[in-house]
Amino acid sequence: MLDERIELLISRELDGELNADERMELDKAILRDPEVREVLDKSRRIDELAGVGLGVQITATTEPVELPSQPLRSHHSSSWWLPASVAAAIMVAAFLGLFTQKGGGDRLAVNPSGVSPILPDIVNQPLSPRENGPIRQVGSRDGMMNGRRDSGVFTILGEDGNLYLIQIDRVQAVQKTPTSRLVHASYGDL
Amino acid sequence: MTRSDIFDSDLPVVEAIANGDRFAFQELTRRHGEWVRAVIFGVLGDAERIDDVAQQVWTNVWERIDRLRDLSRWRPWLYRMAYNAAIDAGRDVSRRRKAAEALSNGPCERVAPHAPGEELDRAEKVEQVTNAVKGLPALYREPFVLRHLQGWGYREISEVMGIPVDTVETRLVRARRMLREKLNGHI
Repeated sequence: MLDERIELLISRELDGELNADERMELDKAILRDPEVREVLDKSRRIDELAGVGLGVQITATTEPVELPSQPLRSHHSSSWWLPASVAAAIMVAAFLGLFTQKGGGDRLAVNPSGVSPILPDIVNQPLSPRENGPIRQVGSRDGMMNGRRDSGVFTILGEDGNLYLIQIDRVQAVQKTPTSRLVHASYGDL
Repeated sequence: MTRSDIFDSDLPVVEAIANGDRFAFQELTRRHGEWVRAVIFGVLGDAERIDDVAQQVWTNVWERIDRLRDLSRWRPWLYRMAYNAAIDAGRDVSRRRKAAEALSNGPCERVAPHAPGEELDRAEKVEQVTNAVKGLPALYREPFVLRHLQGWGYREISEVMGIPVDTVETRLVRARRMLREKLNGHI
């Protein structure tokens, strides 16, 4: 039966938590008592095999996490929403300015499906950053535009390099006239 | 230096989740799904139920994050969600029976009887050790699994589990002692 102190040192050695003094203490114990070396080797072997076996147990099946399809609940207001909102407003201004110059008012028209043709593909696909390649969301703000908790505004960086501001209503489709100054989309499954 | 002393690169992700960002949620599951699974396994000692319990954990995270007052404490909070979900999942007769067997500290049932010194191939040894770990009391199995699957140090385990570093260390020492005793003559 090993001394508890030696057992502790062996455990620290295996976990890489041994300091210089403790290493010297363990080395002396190993020289003094062959059982210490035997226990150290055995514990190291068990650790190694456990690492292999547990890895298989944990990672054998990796199911994607499925979120409930119910509407989002009310969430925290965190400290970054204000600068994010300001940044989003600036980006909207730049975005709309771009369309005004191009005479692109008609391009903002919402098609019968309720999705503007200028929206990136992300609006018609599951929300997965992996699947949408370079398209990524750069900001969001729940209820920013109309104060409703069940809607949100997302700023999306499209793969064409343009920034898109998308208002998403989680309850009903939002149809806006072509003169609307926002792009609206509806996610039925959000 | 503790984890909380340095910038927590996951905190903006957690804040985004608190604002209902599904992208951020998927990112958090990608970054931390493995140790959550490790916690579940550590508590249950049953790999077959990990998927179901993990799904429940992440659903709870999504639904209850608005109850987390201090978002910087998200890690212990997530640990607690995983721990509680695993405990709930383990509340049935068979789980209690297994726990009682483990607490009796007897030899693990699923370790095949081999004569001392008999050479086993590596796969068999891995299975034996894994079964022996499953047979540990959850108290000792949990830090052992986190240490071996995540490579976490004592301090990281301590912070996540919310127990003193000395306690983590003691539990690891005891877990190793129990494993040596269970596997005596097999390894």
